[in-house]
Amino acid sequence: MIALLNRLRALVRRSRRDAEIRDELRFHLDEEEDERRAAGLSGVQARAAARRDLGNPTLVAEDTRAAWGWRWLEHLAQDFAYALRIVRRRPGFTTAAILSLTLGIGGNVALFSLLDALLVESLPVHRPAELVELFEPPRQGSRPIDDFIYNHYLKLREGVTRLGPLAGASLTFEGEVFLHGGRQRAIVQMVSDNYFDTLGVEAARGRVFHAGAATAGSEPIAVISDSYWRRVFGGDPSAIGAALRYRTADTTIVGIAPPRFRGTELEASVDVWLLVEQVVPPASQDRARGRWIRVFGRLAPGATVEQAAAEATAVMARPIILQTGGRPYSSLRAQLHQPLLLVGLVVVLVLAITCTNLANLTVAGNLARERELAVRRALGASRWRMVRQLLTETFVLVGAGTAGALLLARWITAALLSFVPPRYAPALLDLRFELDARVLALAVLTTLVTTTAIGLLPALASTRGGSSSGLRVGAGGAPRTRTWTSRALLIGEIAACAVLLMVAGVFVRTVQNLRAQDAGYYESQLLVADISFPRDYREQRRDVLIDELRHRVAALPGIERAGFSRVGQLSGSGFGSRIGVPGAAASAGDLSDVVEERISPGFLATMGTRLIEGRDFVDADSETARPVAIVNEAFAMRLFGSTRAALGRTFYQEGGSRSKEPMEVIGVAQDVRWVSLRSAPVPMYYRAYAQQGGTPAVRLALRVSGSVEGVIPQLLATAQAIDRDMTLSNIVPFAEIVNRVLVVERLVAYLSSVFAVLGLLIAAIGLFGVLAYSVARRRREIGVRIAVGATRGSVERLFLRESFALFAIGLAIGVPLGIAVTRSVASMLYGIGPQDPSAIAAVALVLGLATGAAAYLPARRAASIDPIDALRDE
Amino acid sequence: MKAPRVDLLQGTLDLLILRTLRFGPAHGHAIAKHIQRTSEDLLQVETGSLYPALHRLEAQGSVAASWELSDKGKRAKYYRLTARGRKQLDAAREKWDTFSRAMGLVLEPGEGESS
Repeated sequence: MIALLNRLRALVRRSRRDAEIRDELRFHLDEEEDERRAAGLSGVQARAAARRDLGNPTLVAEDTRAAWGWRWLEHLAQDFAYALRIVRRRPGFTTAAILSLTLGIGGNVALFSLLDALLVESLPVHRPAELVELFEPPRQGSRPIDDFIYNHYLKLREGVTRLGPLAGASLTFEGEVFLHGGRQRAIVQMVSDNYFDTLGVEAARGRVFHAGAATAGSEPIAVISDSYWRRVFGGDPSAIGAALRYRTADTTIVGIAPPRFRGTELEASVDVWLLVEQVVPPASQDRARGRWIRVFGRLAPGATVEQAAAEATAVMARPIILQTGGRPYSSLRAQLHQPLLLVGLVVVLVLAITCTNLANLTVAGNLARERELAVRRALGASRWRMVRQLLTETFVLVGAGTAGALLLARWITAALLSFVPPRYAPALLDLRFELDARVLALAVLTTLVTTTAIGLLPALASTRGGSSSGLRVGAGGAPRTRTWTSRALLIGEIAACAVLLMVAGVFVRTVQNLRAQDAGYYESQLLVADISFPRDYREQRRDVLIDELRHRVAALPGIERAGFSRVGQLSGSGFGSRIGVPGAAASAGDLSDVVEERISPGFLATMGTRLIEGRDFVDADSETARPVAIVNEAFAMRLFGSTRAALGRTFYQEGGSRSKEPMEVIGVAQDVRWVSLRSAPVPMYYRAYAQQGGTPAVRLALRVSGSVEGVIPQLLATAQAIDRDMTLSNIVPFAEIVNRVLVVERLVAYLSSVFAVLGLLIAAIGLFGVLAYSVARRRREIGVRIAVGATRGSVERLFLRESFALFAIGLAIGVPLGIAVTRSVASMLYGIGPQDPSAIAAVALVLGLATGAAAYLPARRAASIDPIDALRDE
Repeated sequence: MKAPRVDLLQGTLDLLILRTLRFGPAHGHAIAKHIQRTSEDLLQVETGSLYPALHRLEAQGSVAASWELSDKGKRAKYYRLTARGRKQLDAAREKWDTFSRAMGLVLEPGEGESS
């Protein structure tokens, strides 16, 4: 206790104590000198003897100070003060270092926060680890199926005992609710009565659903989310008790969920929860058809996951997979998982290049300070102390870089997220960058690892050897070993750049290939919009309104053509149907997966799809006219042998409301990529919308002559004039739709290009720095060479040769690594193989040019050294 | 290097300093000279160890220090024992006695203690 007080006092009165120690030692010296003089030595001799006896006064004072136990703190403060001075003395280097570190670390932190939200984070519920989600094994493709038929859920809930009562939650969807007497769109989720109980989520206000809430005859109720409450009710507590109608269910809002809970899906933030039993009546077809409910439970005490899985499998008489951990359901996860990991690799590589580069420049920088370091060692600094000093300098840089990275991470994440389709956007609030404990921990860890990676090797290298070796240096050259370290580092940088460039190259080509193919549309000057009507409008009325819109919009100035289709092109889905040809006994396999689409007259021309034979639909192809169809090339070739032969032939659809009604082929259109850009064109036919309409929503397409965005106000005004309740949503240029389809490819291509260029730039600066430094050090040697007859050209070649040797080795290491990386993501590529020779050649060319550019100036400088100057220098 | 010197055993310097201060307050140089003289020049206290040891004892609270004028009229830092230091001295003394007795018994079996 006393000891601690004493020490604290000593810490506070640090400067006075230091002065006292100096005084004390001086007194000691004086006493000693007096004593020696008394023994008969002369003044000078006595003083020297006393000094000899004392030893190194700085060291003694230092050791004495250490007795108070605050040395580490004092050293730390000293190191930092010194490091700041050094850092300020080299503003160029410091700025470059902090900038590259900011980008390197920022990329990592931003990506980590995304990966964390997407892959790791679990639902904000009670003990998420105990939650068990039910899946069926994948049929085709690799993803397990997470949605069930409602009746199957009831069967599971009845039969499975080891998972408590199983809860169910529908896929979320944007539905229409009536509130305060007005229509509103809201994200709705229908859930079982034990949904909140199973999750362990309590209401923030009012109450949530509990078991038994949905028994027959009970009052229909709804729970709303915190954000919906704030958005729609302005946070007014009277929302509880308000009436909310959905379809035929007149419910009362009974509670508000806690702010953090937004449902069980990652990408959708639920606004309104309703009870399935109160919305989907027991006789409804929805209970027996279609997969739309997700099933989860909580492991009963004493039960194991294996037992529960076996039980569920027995109940369903087919395999059921259980997944624990309580991660939110996500369709985005499977889609983005691999690409984000790849982008993760890219940013890690960039950080590695940054580190290597700074390590290299630090080696060079420390060499330049060799004399200073040697002097400090001679004055008694231990090697460990010097290493710590040098590491502190690195730490100051890395710390500044990390701080910058944390500031920038928000924007970097936003840039990453700007690639995510807006369909997912409302839910991505949560995917935004959040500075939580995990992210901070990662940042700190990155800082420490980076500091060590950058600083340790150079620090050890420059403090190696005794104090005298450094003092001797000056006239001679640098020890060979150190230049080898920096060469190895440069080779590593070049190899990492090669990997980055290869990844960037194949993905840029993939996007180009996907875009450049003739997909049956011209994406520029094309605007699309989704049009929908209230559910209670009759089919007839909708069809009339849609057609009126088409005619009136087509007449607007700035719009050349207008048309619409039931499902939009590239929307990711199409309606498959079975067809038959009268009189032909074609094998059913040929005819079963044909895509059917319903379009208006002018739609094909609006999109830019070419008609090869025959004619387009016209207004005369009405409901009362002869049924007609346009088929695509693949359809015509497969069923009729040629496009010409198809005209005038008939076929019919099997099943559906108009089964067996013959349609006459009046035109043949080119093959288009209708469902996705990657799948090869499938047989497809178009029907006239007027002859088989009847969908509550269509997609309008407009060919525009001027600015695409410029016609939107007119479009909205026209729609309003026709019917106030007609909703236009998703009004975007078609190019934007293509972008959304290519989201993953574009994300990877864009990020890998940006980071590859960044990495290349950093590596080139590194090479330049190391060469320039090497030229400066070898000035004398070069001077001698020139003096004894070496030509300028040969000196230049000497340096260029060395650079290109490094380049060749780096390339030889990097290209196989790059091939390994691109091969692992081969399924994401299109029209290009993982070891595409042209991509490798391009990488070699770009890297070679960068090497040449970085090496040229130092080589020129070496060649222009004046031998007389160089030799006279020292 | 004039006389053969005995290296101090680890931890014995503290004991020697505390013992010296039993005679009254003294400054560092005087403490060193006293130890050297009393040990008939066998023990030579290194300045590099003396001052760190003194400051360590001061930090522990075993000795207290104050600046006073020396006999020659110069300002010097004088150390004196505290109650705590006295206790520490007794304990260390006892430990040393036991240790040296044990050493003696082992090195000269049957002959008893040698001085």
